[in-house]
Amino acid sequence: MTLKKRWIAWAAVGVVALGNAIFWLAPYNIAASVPHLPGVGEVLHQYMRNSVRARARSVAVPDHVDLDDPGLIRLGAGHFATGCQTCHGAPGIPRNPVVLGMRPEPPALTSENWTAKDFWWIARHGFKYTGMPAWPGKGREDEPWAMAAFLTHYDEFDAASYADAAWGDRQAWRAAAVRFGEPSEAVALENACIRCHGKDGLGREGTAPKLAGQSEAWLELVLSAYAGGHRESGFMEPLAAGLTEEQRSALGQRFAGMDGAWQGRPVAGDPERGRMLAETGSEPEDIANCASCHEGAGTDGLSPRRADTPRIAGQDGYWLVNWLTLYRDGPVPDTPRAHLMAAAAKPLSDEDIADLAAYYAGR
Amino acid sequence: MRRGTSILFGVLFLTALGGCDGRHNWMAGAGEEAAAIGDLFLILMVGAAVIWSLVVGAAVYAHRRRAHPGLEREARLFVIWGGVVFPVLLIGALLVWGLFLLKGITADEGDLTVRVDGERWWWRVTYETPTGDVVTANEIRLPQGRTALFRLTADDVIHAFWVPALGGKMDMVPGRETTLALTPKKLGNWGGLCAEFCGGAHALMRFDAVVMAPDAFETWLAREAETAQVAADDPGFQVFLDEGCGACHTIRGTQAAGPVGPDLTHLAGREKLGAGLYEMTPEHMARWITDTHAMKPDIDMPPYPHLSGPRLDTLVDFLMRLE
Repeated sequence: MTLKKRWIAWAAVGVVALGNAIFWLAPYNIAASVPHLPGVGEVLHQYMRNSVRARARSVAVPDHVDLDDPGLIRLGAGHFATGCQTCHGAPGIPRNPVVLGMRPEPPALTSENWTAKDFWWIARHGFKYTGMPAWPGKGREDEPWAMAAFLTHYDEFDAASYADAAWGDRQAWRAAAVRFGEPSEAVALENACIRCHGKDGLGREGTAPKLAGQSEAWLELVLSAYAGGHRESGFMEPLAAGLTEEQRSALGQRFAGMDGAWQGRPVAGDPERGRMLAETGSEPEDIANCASCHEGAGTDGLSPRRADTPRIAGQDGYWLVNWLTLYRDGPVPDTPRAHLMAAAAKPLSDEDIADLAAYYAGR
Repeated sequence: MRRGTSILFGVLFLTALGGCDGRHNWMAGAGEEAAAIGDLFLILMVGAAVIWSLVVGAAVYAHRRRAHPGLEREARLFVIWGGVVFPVLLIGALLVWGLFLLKGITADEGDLTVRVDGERWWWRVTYETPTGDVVTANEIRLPQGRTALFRLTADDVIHAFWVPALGGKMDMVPGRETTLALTPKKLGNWGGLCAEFCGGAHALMRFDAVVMAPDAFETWLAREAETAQVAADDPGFQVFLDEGCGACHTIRGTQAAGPVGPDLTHLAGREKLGAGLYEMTPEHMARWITDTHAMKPDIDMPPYPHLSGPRLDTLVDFLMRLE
């Protein structure tokens, strides 16, 4: 008995000593310049694939997300240019030699090998022990679907069509790398916005929300909230973070000054029921009406009474569904009046949201 | 130890007795229905005390007396009459009495009809009048000596409507309508409350039941039926609209027609704020708007902490003018 105990004690000491030796002497060289031992890289890679597959299986594509929607694909392409191209290259744009020195090196991408759900999961969560970051807007489960939409169509793009999708007619910029989203000489300030929101501020046919004619106060408030981490978005936070207060103010002024006719892109839903909810609300379901805050001013009476409230009439249905769902399920911005919208969204069912979006998209 | 225990029980008893005092006292006899139940209760208690004394007395007597085997037949008859027939008849009679009483209380007729909808955690009150519905909230005024028929509903969870001093209580069940008749006898402001646990602020779901002389009641109801007199350029009303209050609240006679929260047309005419909780003062009103959930946790109304200074004062001043 005592002999056995002694053996166990010695074995424990041996394990601790060996562990310490490995920890302190670090015999496995983690240098990126040195390849993995034979087989190690392959095992790690396959484990990564297994890990993604196992977790992406339970992901569901939201009802209002259409992965073949050209607007959503363009949005994905635009963000790809902001956040992904630096490491992964892009259609027709080879990876920068700098990133080829990484191990694992960020792969040149293809639509093959992964499903849309896999792409969503990878964009949403990133990978430990690699350079692949998680989605910057932590709670924004909706946004990475744009990446899934773009990446499942990735192989259909060449350099020209990619530049067109990501930059619209602002194709002057062709650099192989950009500092993450930061406007620089390579990306003129205005190009950073209008490549998705359109040079007329009307959202490039469903790529991004319409901004033309929103109040300056609202645009500044939202940009500042993105910059300060008070409003989550993987698309907008990286872009807003690099802006100075003057730039934000100038951008707000610029888009507020645009004068475009809003015609929202439709979304499935019952606009008549949406009208009833929007104008009257509903007593049994405790749904407040939308019009009290979001209408009542402007030449058409469809702009909000307050400058720090957005116009929603004529916005694209996709974004209306998205925002209402966000205000209901979170993450709710922690800007001063956002909790009022959260209170209004709380009782909404998915059907209510679809109907409201269908109604306001058609206004 | 024994002394400590009896003190404890004494304190608990006195505390419980405190519930029998004042505006929530169900034995105050302020309503015919409560009085009828009170009478039944008294008879029951006195009767029970008498019967209990007789039974215990008989037991003590039987214990002290020597056995009389020859009286077995008489004993059996005594047990059958006193232990089976008498209780069955008595309890049967009480049951019939109770059922008739209940029938009267849940009558479907009255001199006036009031619909009350239980919300989390307040009361939507609608008076049915020949000229149409009059909607108010969280305060129920009743004419003395007339039978008010309450038609009770709930649109979220089960509540229960209870004005202990007047009578009741009655469950409010989503998806169906229950009725309750109350005939107030004594003037006064009697307390009403929700008597079925309905979530976070259940204990703060109260209302005032104000019994008025019939003439005064008619005057009040006529006034309550009127729309609010609000000038379109009233600065306080502008703040009200700018803050989006009209998305949930209605002020009749204005564009504010939100269906969700309490009707505010004659808000300041009510004695209390927050469903029977706070005196209707400007100070309470300001705090209610800015620090809502400290005054009543969990409620749907969001707080407006960004309102302060002159804007808040203007809004409060406007609301306090809605009489």
